[in-house]
Amino acid sequence: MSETTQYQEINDLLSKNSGYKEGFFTQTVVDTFAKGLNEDVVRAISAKKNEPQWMLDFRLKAFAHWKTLEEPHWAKASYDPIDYQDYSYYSAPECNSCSSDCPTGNKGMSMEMDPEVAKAFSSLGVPVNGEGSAQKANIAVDAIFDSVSVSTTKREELEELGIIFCSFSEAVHDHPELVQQYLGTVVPYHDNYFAALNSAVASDGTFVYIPEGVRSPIDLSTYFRINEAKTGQFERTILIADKNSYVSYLEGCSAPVRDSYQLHAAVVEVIVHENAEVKYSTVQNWYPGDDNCEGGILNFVTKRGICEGAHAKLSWTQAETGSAITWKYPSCILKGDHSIGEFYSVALTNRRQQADTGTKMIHIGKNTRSTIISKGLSAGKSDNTYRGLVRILPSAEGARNFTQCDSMLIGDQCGAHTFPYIEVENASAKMEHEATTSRIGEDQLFYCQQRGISEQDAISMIVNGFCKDVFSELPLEFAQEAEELLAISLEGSVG
Amino acid sequence: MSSKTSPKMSPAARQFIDKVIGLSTSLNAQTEADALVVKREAAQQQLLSLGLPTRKDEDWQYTSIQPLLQQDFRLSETVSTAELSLAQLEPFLPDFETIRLVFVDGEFSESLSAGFEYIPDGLSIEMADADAIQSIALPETADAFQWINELLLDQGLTIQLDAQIVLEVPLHILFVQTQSGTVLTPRLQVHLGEAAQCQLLQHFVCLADETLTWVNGVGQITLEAGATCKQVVLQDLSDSSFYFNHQTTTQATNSNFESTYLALGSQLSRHHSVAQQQGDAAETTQDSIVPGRDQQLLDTRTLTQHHALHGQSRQLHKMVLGDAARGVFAGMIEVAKGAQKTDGQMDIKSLLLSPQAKVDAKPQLEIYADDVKCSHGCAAGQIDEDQLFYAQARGIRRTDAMQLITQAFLLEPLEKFQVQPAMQAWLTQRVVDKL
Repeated sequence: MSETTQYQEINDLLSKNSGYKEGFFTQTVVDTFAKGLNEDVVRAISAKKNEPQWMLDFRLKAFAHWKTLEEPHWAKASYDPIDYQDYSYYSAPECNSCSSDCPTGNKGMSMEMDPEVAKAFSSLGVPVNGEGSAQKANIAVDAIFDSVSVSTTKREELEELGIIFCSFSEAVHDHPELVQQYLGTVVPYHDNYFAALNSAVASDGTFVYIPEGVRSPIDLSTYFRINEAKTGQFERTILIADKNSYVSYLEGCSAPVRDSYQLHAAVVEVIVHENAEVKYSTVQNWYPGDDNCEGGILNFVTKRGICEGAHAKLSWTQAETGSAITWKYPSCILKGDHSIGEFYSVALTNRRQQADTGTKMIHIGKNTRSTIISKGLSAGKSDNTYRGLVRILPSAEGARNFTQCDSMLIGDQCGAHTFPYIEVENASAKMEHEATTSRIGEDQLFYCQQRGISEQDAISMIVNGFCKDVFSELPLEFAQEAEELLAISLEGSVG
Repeated sequence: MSSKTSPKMSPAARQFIDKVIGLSTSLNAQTEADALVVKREAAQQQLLSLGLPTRKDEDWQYTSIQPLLQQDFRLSETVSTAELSLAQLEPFLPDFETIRLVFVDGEFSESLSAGFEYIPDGLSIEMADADAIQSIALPETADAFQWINELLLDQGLTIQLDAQIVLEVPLHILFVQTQSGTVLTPRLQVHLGEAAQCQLLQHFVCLADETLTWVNGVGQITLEAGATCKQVVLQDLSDSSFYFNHQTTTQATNSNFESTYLALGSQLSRHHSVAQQQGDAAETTQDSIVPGRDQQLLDTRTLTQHHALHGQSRQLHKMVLGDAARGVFAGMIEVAKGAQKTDGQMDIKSLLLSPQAKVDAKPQLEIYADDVKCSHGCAAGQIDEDQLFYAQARGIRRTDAMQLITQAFLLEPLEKFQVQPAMQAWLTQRVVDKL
């Protein structure tokens, strides 16, 4: 097939999906496993990454357990059972797939990066070369392309402070004691179906360790890109904040326009020690699929953090605009006394997207506090569900929770749902939960239009106002990106 | 009927189902009407294919039926109701005029019933016979306990109020259980014609504190256009008893259904109220008052389905939980596509009085129409120290202050319940006695 016709196809697809500007596809030499999933594949992934025996054991244990589980379908999203044999479980640009030959220390340097991959990231606006914009951007980036991490910037600068910021595969080699100490402690391999799958076939991910007393001067960030068709991405991220430390971590993602569903099943584990604070922000913009959400990303993510020590604080902020199906519940286990958990979320669904997202706040320690602010927007023919659990255990003396879930419906073909679970086992705890459902009022639109603001801009303004509580929690650049994403995703949803 | 194979069941559940089926078989032997036997046998199939719920079922995750499974129930023996004197019923009788229907161990007692002079033309009260029962069908979605009701169905009570008839005097339906270890499966059918109005007081009691009984009821209430029904379900069984009740209310245009459930007794209870708004501008209120103590597990569920325009629904659920009591609430407001201008509101407020008390709540919204106003609120906590201090500063003893605050908190749904003051006062007293 000639290149022009190939691009023609892509362009056609793109024009159909004008809203999704990250939908381009990168042509590069790749090393992709044949489709299928069995124990040999799990072993092969491990071998490819030259992993030590304990990591392989962890994978095999998880895989054996996964086979005994059934795919969960309790979420308010209908999808056909996934054919796990129809995906490839490993794909990497050639240059980076040679970790077995290269000294691992060199891996991740930008000089090694495939120029096509570098081009892809630069057009996504991700500073992976450690030069120019990235230097100014005051942000360290780990770029993950399909199954491997291709570049991690500003590592030296961070190393001086003792901060470990590298890909998960490197951490397995360079910091096995830390990985072994924390892997699977927050999300055990038997936690749920997708966590078990992830534990078995984990591709790459980011590993962050902030030592005692260190405040990370720059934001750390990971950008995930699924490129190959019919591959799954199964990143595993571990973030550890030791005593009295602070870090702000950002996460972004995108994928090319494809015509078949792609699978994304990630696991994120966050451990926050005494007095430490972690701010974890995500802008999720996976490809949502075409107008019928055919070919979008199936996003099944297990994110969980534990506030291990007293006065620890973990804050999740997410802006979810992409994916055909989202199944994601970033959670906080508030174990340390006086620890704080926060969850700020904006979830937008359009077309036939289905999002079932929320959080879990498990109060164990005394005087633990949690705040949940969730804003759901549904447009088109989509379904948007908030599902959250607040559990106050008998030991959580004086625990406090405040939850607010607001839903907005745009159009009469969509659905907005709220399914909170509230379990209080301590009388001294105080919990409040509120949920409302509303829509953009005709009078509000009329008011704006009367003053010369176009309908589209007016909707954008009203929506941004509705989401302000959450956007104000996002780091500056991200807040702007999220606002723009909302505007794009909402295009054509009214009128 | 379903050919599904029986699900995996614990030996206890299996044994329990077998016993219930055994009771049904002995009932069949005494039944002449074939239609009723056929109906029971169909229910048996349903029950076998469903099995009994366990805590792994989403709808039962907070409610364990283990204590029920450990019991051995039998059918009530027919007793001569003459043995029971009106004086023995005195504690259960309201001090205001009612049309009183008394059922002793499920058997209607004419001598204990009263107030027939208030029955207007256009009100018919009938013990449904086999033929009438035959026409009553359970929905496909019925759960195991509804099928058990059908499995042991013998008699139903049918109340029919013709169009335009306004029943001034409340209808007091009193179920008195005198035999320990028995199961009661009441089936109530209420039909209100256009613009008819009535007040229903469904009352479940045990004659003695030691009587252990299991009430497993099913109710179907139909409101035609413009009809109004005010319902109180007063569950005041002995502390060792079990109570399961599932009622479905269907509402036509402009009808108004106002219901309050008072969970005053039982060790394990579950009251499930489903309201279906099928006509425009219907109004629904589903409130509950739940004072829990000892080891009680009190479960209240609502499902409010808005299928038409301009529907309104209100819910206020209050729980006060002392000792090691456990309160469970699950409620769902469903707004179907096209049910525009719906206004739904659900509030659940719980007060935990002891360190062992627990509350689990699941207020849910499922909305498919955009021009609606729906909300829910849920709060749990203990008595506010500031409120106690305020009262104490005014010379009210701490225990009295706690009592006062608790009462005021719990009785809110009754205060806004629009019935005659005598009825309100009487119901209030029933609740206060339990605190």
